[in-house]
Amino acid sequence: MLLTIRNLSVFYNTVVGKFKVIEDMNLDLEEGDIISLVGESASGKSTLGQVLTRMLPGTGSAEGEVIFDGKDVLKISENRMTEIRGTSIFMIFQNPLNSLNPVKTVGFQLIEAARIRRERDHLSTDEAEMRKEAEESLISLRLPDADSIMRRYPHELSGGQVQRVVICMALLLKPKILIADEPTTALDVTIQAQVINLLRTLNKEMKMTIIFITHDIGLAYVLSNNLVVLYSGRIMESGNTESIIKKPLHPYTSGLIGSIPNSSKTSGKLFSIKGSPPSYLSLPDGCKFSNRCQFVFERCMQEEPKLLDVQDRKVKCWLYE
Amino acid sequence: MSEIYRFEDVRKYYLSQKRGLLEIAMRTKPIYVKALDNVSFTLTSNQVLAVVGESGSGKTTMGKIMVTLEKPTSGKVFFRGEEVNKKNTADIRENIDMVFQNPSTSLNPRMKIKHIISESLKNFDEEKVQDIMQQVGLPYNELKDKQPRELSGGQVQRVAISKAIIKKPELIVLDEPTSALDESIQAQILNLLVDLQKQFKLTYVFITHNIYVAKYIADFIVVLYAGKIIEYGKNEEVLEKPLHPYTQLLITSIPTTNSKELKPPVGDVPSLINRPEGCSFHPRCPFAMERCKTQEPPLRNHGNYLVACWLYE
Ligand SMILES: Nc1ncnc2c1ncn2[C@@H]1O[C@H](COP(=O)(O)OP(=O)(O)OP(=O)(O)O)[C@@H](O)[C@H]1O
Ligand SMILES: Nc1ncnc2c1ncn2[C@@H]1O[C@H](COP(=O)(O)OP(=O)(O)OP(=O)(O)O)[C@@H](O)[C@H]1O
Ligand code: SF4
Ligand SMILES: [Mg+2]
Ligand SMILES: [Mg+2]
Repeated sequence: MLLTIRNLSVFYNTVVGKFKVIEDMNLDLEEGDIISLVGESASGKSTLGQVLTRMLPGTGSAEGEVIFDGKDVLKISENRMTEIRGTSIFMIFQNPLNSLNPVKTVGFQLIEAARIRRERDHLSTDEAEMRKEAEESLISLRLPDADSIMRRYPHELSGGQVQRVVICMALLLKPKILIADEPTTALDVTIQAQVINLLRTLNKEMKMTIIFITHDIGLAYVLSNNLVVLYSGRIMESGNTESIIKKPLHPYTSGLIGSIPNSSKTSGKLFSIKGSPPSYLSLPDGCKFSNRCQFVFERCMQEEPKLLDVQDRKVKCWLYE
Repeated sequence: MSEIYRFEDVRKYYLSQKRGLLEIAMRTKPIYVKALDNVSFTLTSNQVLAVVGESGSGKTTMGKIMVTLEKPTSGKVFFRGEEVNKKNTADIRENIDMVFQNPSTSLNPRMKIKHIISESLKNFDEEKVQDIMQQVGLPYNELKDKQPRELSGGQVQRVAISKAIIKKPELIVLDEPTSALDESIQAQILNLLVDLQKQFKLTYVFITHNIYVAKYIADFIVVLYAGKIIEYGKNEEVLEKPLHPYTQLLITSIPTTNSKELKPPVGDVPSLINRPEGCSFHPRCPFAMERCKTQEPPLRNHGNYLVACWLYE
């Protein structure tokens, strides 16, 4: 097992009090897995990524275990963690500008990434070679004028270009685990297709493990072999991507899949799951989805369901007891 | 329905690199990124125009020009028939708002959420803020006193939308406003935007790369490629029967849950510094003819459409 998450809970301290955004999570990742993390806005997807790279803000705290390479990421020293972040677990942040230094040129930062990997792999760190590698990598991401882009600062690029520069960094670093938080939201579908194919290649050739955070079920379907559906910081359903999407079991997963807009549904209002996600300040008792679920019954409102083994997957819903 | 905004031959060239004294003294030629080139169009009030197109094709630049955050390098822009200049920018900013593509970097990081949203109102109006947050699915009590960095990506995006719609300006430029939202919340937001638009007769310029979103919300669609308009027409027509090969490609590359195959188009993306000769799309176009390599197709009427492609002469 490459990464094991056990009984993970995550908290944030805020002006309105301390609240728990991830509750008792367990998850296993094998080398070479591609797993998609989907779920509504604010369900805790980015928070989970930040815990795995230990990049939570000062107001955040985590309990439980995150075992990588036999060691607990939550407990090792900061120095060791810095090393891991550069070469073993790299995260592409949801806001790509957060992954870049605003006062350094794009080229400088990409060459730095190439250097880190080359040092790790004991390869030559010849400046010209690294520059060439960075440039080629930008071109593989369909960026025109790579040379000009390397000389610019992050704010002199378009939204989708910044996003690709950060993806480029990941391609140059080739980490063991890549956590990509909504990495293609600013890209149009043609370039998105290119990026997805590049990630697949890295996964095949380098056995790179990918945690792909997305709200796009279509994309999760295309890329990943495993799927984890989060709701209010809990895993509601997890298992093989194909089988979940073709036949979702949890009412929340069905709702999520039912709201994918497609070409046949253009007239009238778009479908959305009724109600809003609950506030972390006042989560419903019992099942956290119970106030929006169309199958809700007595027990759902009293007791929170366990993550049950159902057919080929895990589901947190009393309908399957 | 009347004209609310017009672009006439607008160009926006960015310097590809800041020029130091030395470069200027040595008279090296500046290198330009041609973000928008000869763009002309008219926007009618009370309608929704979707702007789609490849990353880097000039969509955000177009929006920034509309809200007067960028000045065209050449060409003219008109708001309600009046040429935009220094004197009327204050008035324009009063009536046009923009929801930025990267909201977490455009919101004031030190302000509380409730104050960010009500900033454009004269006074803080708790009831209004509470109401709008509820409509975009944000829990008021949990978030009101937080700062932007304490919110998730999709929450920040909805704060930015709330901030713009609370005032109901005549024209709103929405730059990828739902890109961080899952389908269910996106649907809720789109429904809300459509309701507001109808009820208050607002005009939207809706920048998106999500064709389904464009299809749902827009009356008209404009497709940009490498800084130029290559297709324009009614929503139903353009999306049902796109004329330009790039628009066609855009529609066939959408990932669906029906197939795992993704076929990105081959060929080079165009440089904006040294634009390819002829049609900018010819290196990637499956129908490219000899002529496409040397002569640039003008934007011309074809039925109800405007299209820039030699296939439609
Ligand atoms: N300050 C700047 N200096 C130099 N070039 C710039 C600057 N701002 C934008 N550009 C370039 O202008 C072109 C158009 O950028 P724009 O942000 O309008 O694209 P966009 O269509 O919004 O793309 P995206 O979908 O990726 O957001 C891009 O190639 C970009 O690199
Ligand atoms: N620094 C922080 N301080 C306090 N609360 C936070 C902080 N960061 C996130 N939160 C809260 O934690 C919850 C989960 O946030 P997270 O960013 O993990 O969601 P997400 O699933 O990534 O959502 P999105 O799809 O909108 O990006 C949200 O309710 C958010 O408001
Ligand atoms: S446990 Fe009950 S409320 Fe929760 S999803 Fe299942 S049926 Fe719905
Ligand atoms: Mg997030
Ligand atoms: Mg943009």
